[in-house]
Amino acid sequence: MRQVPPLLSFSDLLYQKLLILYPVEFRDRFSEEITQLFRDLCRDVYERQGSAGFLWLWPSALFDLIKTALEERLRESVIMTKEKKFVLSGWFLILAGISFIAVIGLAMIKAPLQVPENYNGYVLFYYGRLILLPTGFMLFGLGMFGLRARYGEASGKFGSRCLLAAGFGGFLGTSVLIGFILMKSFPWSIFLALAGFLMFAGLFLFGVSSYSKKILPRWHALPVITGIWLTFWLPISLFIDIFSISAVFVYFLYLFSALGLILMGVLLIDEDSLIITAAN
Amino acid sequence: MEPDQIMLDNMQPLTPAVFHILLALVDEEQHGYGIMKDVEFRTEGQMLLKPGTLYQAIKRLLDDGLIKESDKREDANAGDSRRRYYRLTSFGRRVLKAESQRLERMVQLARAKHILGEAKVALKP
Repeated sequence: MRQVPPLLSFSDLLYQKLLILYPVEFRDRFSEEITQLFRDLCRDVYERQGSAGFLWLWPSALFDLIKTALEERLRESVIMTKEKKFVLSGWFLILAGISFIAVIGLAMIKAPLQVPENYNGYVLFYYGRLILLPTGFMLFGLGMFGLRARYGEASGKFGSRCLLAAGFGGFLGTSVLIGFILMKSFPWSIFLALAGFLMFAGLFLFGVSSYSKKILPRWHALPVITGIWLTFWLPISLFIDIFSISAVFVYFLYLFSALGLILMGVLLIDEDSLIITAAN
Repeated sequence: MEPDQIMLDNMQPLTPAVFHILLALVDEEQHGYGIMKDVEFRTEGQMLLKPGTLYQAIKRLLDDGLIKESDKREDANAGDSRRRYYRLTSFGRRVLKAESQRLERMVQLARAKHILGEAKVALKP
């Protein structure tokens, strides 16, 4: 077996140790190959120029290693930040769904109560609606923007714009509810219905677009199923006497949508989904 | 615009290092050292790819589907069998072609402006 000069062995060992500067994933995949390439490079230089060749090889190789390691670390941190944003958006959607379910629950509690005979129940409903609903709308908006960041590009221009409209609807809904608190005489309910329509129609249409492209890791029909109920119910509710409709039926419409949002949130924080994102 | 064309456009312009790596893989599968020597030879020593830069580019090319790892392994008697070989994918070939056409158009523009001497394409009659 051919004897390896000590300088080559030392150089090889030192370079191998320095590979720790790369992120783990990069190192696991390429460290053997990079070391092998550096070894070949050293052997070439040694055969052509002897020990003196290392004087120019090492500074340039070290600069290259530090530069690329830094770039890979930065790239990894950007991907991590992106992943964290998706996870956060997923939680926003889950919390939005829970807020809506809580409002539905409060409404169901309130229905049989007679105000002011049961004052505690009324306060629970009133303040719950006041705080939970605008918060839920805002969380919905944030969640939609997260969904757009994750799947907007893959769903195409149309799908991306639908999610933008849905997110905007969420923020419009929050503004309308705040306006409602400040100025009760204004006909806010039309704007509230518009905001709700934008939110769920945006999600529904994104769902139509994403379903045909199968861009979600699973549950391809979920955005459609989540968005469809209120997309059609909200415009209808403006033109009919909603008290003539069974309250349970209406509650179920909202409940289905809220549960759908929770599942959408689970989809966003799903590990497989994040792996796909990291790979992209 | 077709999705395929959008993907091609998104890949451009290629960095000189990536362009040369893809060129090195046009004719045959190569390992890292082979690519490095090929680029050095073809650019007459003007481009010397260092290990970090080369494998950073290879990682990007693998992620984007422009190259693929080949099953080929070097003969253990001839060298280190840990070397991995890479080959150009059909998408990589199309990206390389599109980039070459883009560069050709640049050169034509430069020629038209007499930057490279005799103009082959006239802007005005």
